[in-house]
Amino acid sequence: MFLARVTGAVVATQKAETMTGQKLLVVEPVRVDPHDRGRLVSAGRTFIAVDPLGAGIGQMVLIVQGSSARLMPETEKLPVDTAVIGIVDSVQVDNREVFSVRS
Amino acid sequence: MKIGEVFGRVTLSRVHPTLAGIRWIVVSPCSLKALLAADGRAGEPCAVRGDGEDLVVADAVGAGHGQLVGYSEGGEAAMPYMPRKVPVDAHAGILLDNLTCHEIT
Amino acid sequence: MQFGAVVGHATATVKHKGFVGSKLLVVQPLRDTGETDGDPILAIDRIGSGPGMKVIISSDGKAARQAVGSKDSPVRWLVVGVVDG
Repeated sequence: MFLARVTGAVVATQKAETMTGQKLLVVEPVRVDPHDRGRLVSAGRTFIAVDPLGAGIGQMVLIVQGSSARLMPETEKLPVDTAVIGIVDSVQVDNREVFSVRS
Repeated sequence: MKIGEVFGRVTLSRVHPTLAGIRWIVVSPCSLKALLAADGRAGEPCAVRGDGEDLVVADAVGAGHGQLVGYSEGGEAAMPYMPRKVPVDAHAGILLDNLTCHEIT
Repeated sequence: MQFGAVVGHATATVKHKGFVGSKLLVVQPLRDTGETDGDPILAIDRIGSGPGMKVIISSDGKAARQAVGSKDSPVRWLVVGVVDG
């Protein structure tokens, strides 16, 4: 899994039939800064994730990738490889808080 | 399974119901260089510093900060939960007490 | 399957039941040129290989799960041979 920031939502009118009604988010993975473990930085990539949880733009989310993304009742029949499985409350690195929804 | 240093934790405010109760850790993968740098102390807490791109792992062994875990990735990571379907792609199934590492001979 | 150099071993008391009774080796995957290929992995050994040996590792998760007699084990890598010479 990886952490990602929700940066937008995708609208695609023309899509695979099974995808009808699915909410798709644009997410930008973040990682712990390898030079300064005290902060999270963008990993410089973009993914589109199906979202069964109802995450909002700007939220930090937990993303699952690969065939595991289909191991939910909402996704098992979808042609997807990336899904939101959690909305992040806090991230601690080296026992220090580097992300919190309250700050 | 790869070897990783546990260096963080993630808490969630909302989670998919299939994942309720799972503890999430932040893991840094260990290269041979990282394991060798620990110079015989690889099993001790905080002796090894991972040097790969960090990932979030479902923790089944109660790993603490600075400990080493063995973790599996991809579809294999969901196997321990079968027959339940649980959407995880990384799972720590081993907490290493001790690890030796030598140069390739 | 890939070449690997056994560079160490690991012990663990807290582990998935699928690992109980198996020797855990630290194996560095190698190219045929001897260059390293990715990060070291934990592999199960049932054939008596050990540090310093050049081995053949297989990522057949199904075979590995059979070797440890557990259908839900997260095991993936198995030492399947020691390279002669």
